[in-house]
Amino acid sequence: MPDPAAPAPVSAGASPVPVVELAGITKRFPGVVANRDVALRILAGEVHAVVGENGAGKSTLMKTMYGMQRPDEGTISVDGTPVRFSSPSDAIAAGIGMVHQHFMLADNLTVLENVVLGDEPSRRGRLDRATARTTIRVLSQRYGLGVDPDALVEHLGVGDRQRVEILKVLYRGARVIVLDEPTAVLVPQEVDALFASLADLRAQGVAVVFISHKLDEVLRVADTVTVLRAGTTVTTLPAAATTPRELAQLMVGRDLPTPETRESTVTTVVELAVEHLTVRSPDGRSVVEDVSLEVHRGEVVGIAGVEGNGQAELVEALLGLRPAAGVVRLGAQDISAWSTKRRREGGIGHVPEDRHRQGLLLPASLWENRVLGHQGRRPARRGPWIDGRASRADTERIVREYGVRTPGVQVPAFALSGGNQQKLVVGREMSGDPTLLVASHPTRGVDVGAQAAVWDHLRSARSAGLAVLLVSADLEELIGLSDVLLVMLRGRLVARLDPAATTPELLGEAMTGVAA
Amino acid sequence: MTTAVETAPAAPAGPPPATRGTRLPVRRVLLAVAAPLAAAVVSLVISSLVLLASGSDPVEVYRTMLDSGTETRSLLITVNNAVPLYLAGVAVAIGFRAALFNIGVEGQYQLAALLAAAAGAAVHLPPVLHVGLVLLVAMSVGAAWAGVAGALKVTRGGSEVISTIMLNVIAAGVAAYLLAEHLQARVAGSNNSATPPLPTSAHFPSLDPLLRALGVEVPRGTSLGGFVLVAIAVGIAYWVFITRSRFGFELRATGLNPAAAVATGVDVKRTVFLTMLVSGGLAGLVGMPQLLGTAYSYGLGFTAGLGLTGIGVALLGRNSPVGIALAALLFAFLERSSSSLQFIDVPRQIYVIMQGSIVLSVVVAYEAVRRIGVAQAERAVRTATDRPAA
Amino acid sequence: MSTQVAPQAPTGERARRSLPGGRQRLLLGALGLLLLLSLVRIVSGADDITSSGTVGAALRLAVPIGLAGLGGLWAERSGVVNIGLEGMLILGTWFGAYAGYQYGPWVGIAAGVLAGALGGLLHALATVTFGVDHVVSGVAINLLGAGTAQYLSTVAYGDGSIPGAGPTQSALVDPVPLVSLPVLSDGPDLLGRLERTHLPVLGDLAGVLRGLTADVSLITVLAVLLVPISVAVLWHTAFGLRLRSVGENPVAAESLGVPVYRLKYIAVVISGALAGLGGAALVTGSIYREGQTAGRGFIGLAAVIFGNWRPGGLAAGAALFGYADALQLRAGSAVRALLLFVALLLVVVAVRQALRRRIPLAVAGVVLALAFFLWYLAVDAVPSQLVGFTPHLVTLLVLAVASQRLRPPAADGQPYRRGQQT
Repeated sequence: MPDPAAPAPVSAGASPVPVVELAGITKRFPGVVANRDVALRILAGEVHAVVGENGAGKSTLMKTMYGMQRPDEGTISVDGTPVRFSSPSDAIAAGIGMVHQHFMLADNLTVLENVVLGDEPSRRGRLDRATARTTIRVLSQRYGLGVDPDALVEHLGVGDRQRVEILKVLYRGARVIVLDEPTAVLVPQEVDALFASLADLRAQGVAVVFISHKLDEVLRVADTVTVLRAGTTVTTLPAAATTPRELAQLMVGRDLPTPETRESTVTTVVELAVEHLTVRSPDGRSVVEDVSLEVHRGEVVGIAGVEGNGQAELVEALLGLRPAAGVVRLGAQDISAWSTKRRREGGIGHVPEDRHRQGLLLPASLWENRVLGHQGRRPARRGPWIDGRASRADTERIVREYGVRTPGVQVPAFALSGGNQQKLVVGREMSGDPTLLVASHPTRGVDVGAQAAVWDHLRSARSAGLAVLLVSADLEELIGLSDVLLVMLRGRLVARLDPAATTPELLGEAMTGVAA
Repeated sequence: MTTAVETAPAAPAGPPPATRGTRLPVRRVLLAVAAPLAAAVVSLVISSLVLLASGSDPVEVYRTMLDSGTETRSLLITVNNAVPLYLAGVAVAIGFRAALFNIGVEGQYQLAALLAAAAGAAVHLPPVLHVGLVLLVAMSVGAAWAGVAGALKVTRGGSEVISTIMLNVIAAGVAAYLLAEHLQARVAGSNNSATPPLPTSAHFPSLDPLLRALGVEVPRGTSLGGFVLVAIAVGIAYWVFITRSRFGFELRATGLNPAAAVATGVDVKRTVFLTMLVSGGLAGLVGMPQLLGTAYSYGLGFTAGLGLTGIGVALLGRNSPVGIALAALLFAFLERSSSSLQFIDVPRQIYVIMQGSIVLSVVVAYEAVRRIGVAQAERAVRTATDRPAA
Repeated sequence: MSTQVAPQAPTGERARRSLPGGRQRLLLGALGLLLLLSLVRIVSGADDITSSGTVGAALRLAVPIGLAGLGGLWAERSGVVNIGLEGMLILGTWFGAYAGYQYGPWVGIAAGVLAGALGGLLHALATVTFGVDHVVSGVAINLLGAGTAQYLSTVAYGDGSIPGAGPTQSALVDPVPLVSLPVLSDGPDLLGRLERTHLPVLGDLAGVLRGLTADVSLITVLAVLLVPISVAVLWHTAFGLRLRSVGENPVAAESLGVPVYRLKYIAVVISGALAGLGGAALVTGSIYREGQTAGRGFIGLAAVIFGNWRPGGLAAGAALFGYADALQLRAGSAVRALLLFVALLLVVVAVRQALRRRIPLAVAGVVLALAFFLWYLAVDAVPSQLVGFTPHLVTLLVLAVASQRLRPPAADGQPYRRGQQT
């Protein structure tokens, strides 16, 4: 293993051999082609950004590059030589280091311990902390990462933790560092510090692959940009030769779905009013900042935005699952201090984004899952008891009306496909006769048929006067269903668009933070 | 931009505890039975090896146990002994359903039995009321003691495993102290340390008259304690409570998926605390068959260890009222029939090894079966949804 | 879950014991405790609380607790909760006594260690390979351990062929040699002389030191040495770092090529071996008796929590629990003096809280101190049954009061499967 403390050779000369090259990479999963004929060339000493929407195939590509999965077709070459990775260890040995979006650090260990783990310098059996400390300090200085080796990771902020992850890969001699959405969890000052570190890395001949959807940041720091869309490479261009607008167009594509023309069912009655809602994460960062919005009866308000910009926290705050500052009104009532149960009984329905985690009891039967969240109301409730017969009958009604494909209502929920599970959840939430439905990615991981069914039900409920707050990353869904589109970025509402009149550019720019 | 995916239907994964289907797929039934059967086989193998290693003949041992265990007298004793085990198992199982580990049944029932015995001996009431009072005191003490652990868990997040273990020892100490210093019956010339005997109005009737009416001959010196009816009632109440009541529903939801429970409005903290209370209340009943049926007082010789064995019973019985009953009967049978082993010079403690190895192998078997099922489902789901995310 | 109105303030620094400067604080604390004990001794006249006899007994009694606790610590540091320590302790006592009688004390100790290690292996098999819940496996192993010991006793001793042995106890095992500190605790016995002068502080100090250094069994020495050895291995070797990382974040460790399963196995087998050693320590120079472990496996767990999952704190906890045990055994009336000690300690704590402007806690401390003082005045003796559960009560208090400061390994008790993503 190359000595991490030795200076990395800087390649010189024109048309250098790329440090890493991916060619013709294709990866299929049942029902979907995640990557199709992807090409990527990373040169030494460059910052290469890979951009794309949710679902564009970035994550799968990185997993392939990092040895976590093998491509069905295509080749990976390191320094011009084809290689095959059977595990991340092979990739590490070849000099490719990955800094995941979700850090892999042990809070109760020091920076030093986290960095050297698995590759510890030893002297006569004793852990040689002194040597490790020196090495880390040298690396830290050379690459501009100011981290104290003896600090406990638990006490480090997010920006510092990221630097520790970078140190981890540098310590193992990485010549290519892949950063997966590195600025997702950083505040602006930390972002500046990170970019300064990236500049230092580049100066030392290390290549950086920077995966992101935030185009403004990407163009600040990258030399080259590769755009992925629908699993394939759209193009690769030098950052200097493009503009954010162009990138946004390439990312989002020209063929936005056109919404169906329909009569507006929006009334003037405000069902949900949110005023100056702010949510803070435990480490003090604000994840939802001063959000105010209104949803009327008979209206679908869509919230667009790349995941991780506060949508999930907004939904949780509205459901009472997260403490928040600000006022939330349902109809005429101020429900800001209400418990989740009270809010649900007051008329809020919730289709969660992760049905397995927050929506279903997988080992329990379908009818028991129908009761979940509604055990205090008819038809399930009969005094202190659960009315099994009425619940089962009502579950059969939901199965019929929502087209849930199942042999019966006694079947455990895990036996259903994702689409049918989702239909059940939607049916359940609608059955409580809500006045407001908060739907979070309601057709994620759902087959096309189920998706259409869910959309139909949402539309008819809207016609009947339901107010819907729809959070989604699926543009077809948002544009097809929403009466008004709000865009969320970094915890704030940054745009208000008419779905019938919006263009891909406008939507893309708003979602990725490009100045209009 | 959608990447909608059709996820393949997941294969069933092991016996789901909350389902009560009218048409269970054959495969699921087989899987449900496979685990305990496999465990029984493994346990037999282990015990046989131990017996062989110590110079005994396993076949002879099992035959002796079977023969003596199926005599009428032994069967009656088995049922009697199974009753407190059953109650302990149900107490533990209620906790398990909410993903709580009440190891404190041991201390809860000891303390409850002592205080109930003392209370019962201190008053005079008509028969039914007297028994009712003793039961009430026992359940209240058990619930309160379990409540300490419950409160610790919901307010400070303290693991109920550790706190109930500690409370067991504290209960034993407090009970010993109270018995020695305050609650003992002072009988001149007797060394036995016990509470004053309960008056006959607090005795629980036996079921011998019923047996005789059914034509069963009750051997001299044994009788079928009437508390078996209470046990059956508890079992029915447990089943009804867990599967049909609203609180039981929220209890199960908390145990199956706390995140989903919270997200759908269940007050998880309240549920956890109340579950501990219920579990402790049931635990309080564990000592009652002995107190009200045979011993009529609480003394140093009061049966111990039922709480820990109860955990094994609940595990073996998979938290189901019928399963726990079968498990309790099995455990009691093993203990009772092993007493005949002294006649063939085999240490009777082989039954503890049998019990322990059954418990260990059954939990391994259940886990293995569950994993097989889940792995099949996981594979189908994972490859289908392992699509580009960010 | 209701919506709070005020935004949450970012969490500030968390109080944590840091090592530099901690040694001085520790020394000062020990000195303060000694002063307090001396004061209590003089006031109450209970000479036993700092006598070398009591301290020596405390050390002896602390050994099985401490070893069981070390076993628990090693296992939990790799992320496996070992409730089965009691069962492994029992196996250690039985095999230690059996082999010790037949082949001599050191062979007995080796046998005890081996037996405990086998118990650990079983626990590792169930939890690591088969993914069984850690607590369930531990409870089952306790059942198995107790049953196995009972069964084997009848098989081995039931026929009366070994003198003194019966179905519930073994024959006498020879002791291992005792050592003493020369001059100070032996021969001229200077410390003993100083102790007998009953001088304040000096006499107490002499008593404590002599108790720790006079007629100490080699097993005790071994047990005491295992504490710094554990610290050295776990915190100063690569192996130890990898083991701890497995208990903190096994996914991260696996991603760096650390063999998670293998390390868990090793840690749990070591855990069993240590518990087995604790059992052997109980029987060397004595006999195996049914029920003699008396829940020390669980007290060991309590010591782990008390020591905040660090060997040093664990040793302190074991010493504390052993001390209470020793005092109760040797001089039950002296336990009453400890009430006064606790009262004074609470006063000190209350003063500290008052200085930090935490008035409600200070008031609570004063009230409690008063209660203990009144209790001290009111009784002649503390009932022995209540003293017996002091360690457990202390653990409950630690859980209740200090749960924020407790730092178990982050992945403690969580089942791990190779290849899982989070």
